[in-house]
Amino acid sequence: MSPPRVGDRAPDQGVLDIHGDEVRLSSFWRDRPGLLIFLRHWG
Amino acid sequence: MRDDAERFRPLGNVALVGQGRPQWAERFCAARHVAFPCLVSPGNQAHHAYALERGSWRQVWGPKQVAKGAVSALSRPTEALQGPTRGDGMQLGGAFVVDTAGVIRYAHRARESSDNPPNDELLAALAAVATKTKGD
Repeated sequence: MSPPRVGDRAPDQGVLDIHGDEVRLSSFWRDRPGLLIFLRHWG
Repeated sequence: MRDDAERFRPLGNVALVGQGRPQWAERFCAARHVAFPCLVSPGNQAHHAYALERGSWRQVWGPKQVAKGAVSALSRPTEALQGPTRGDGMQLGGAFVVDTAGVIRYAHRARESSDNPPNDELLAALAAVATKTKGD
């Protein structure tokens, strides 16, 4: 599978919030543009 | 990122996605007063879906990366005490701007551990999408 690029649909992955509840990434771009920052680690 | 929170907020939704457990994210974000939602992707599935690389030792711990880390620590001494790296220490990061149709409008995949796009670049990318969204 080729990496998603500009112009491609963003993968709508399920992730967990700090309470352990599942959140879809699409919830961050549904109503307004979204900026997803992927961190290497939390340290 | 934290310093520019008020510049990001009017332009869109910002979220941080890390690896590991929710409590790791909670601890980190509380200690650093992170102004945005902090999320985790168990097994790094989201990182994989966005094709973010695992770095080599050189990409993660090379002289350039260590030097950049030292400069960053010295410029923010109160945040210099980095905690232990949990999870996959070779995972690299990235940043993506997505419009309301779910289409990627900006993509940055880190090529090494200190390869973080400047806030002004992220703000410009988000502003371009926000402006277009308003004009639609």
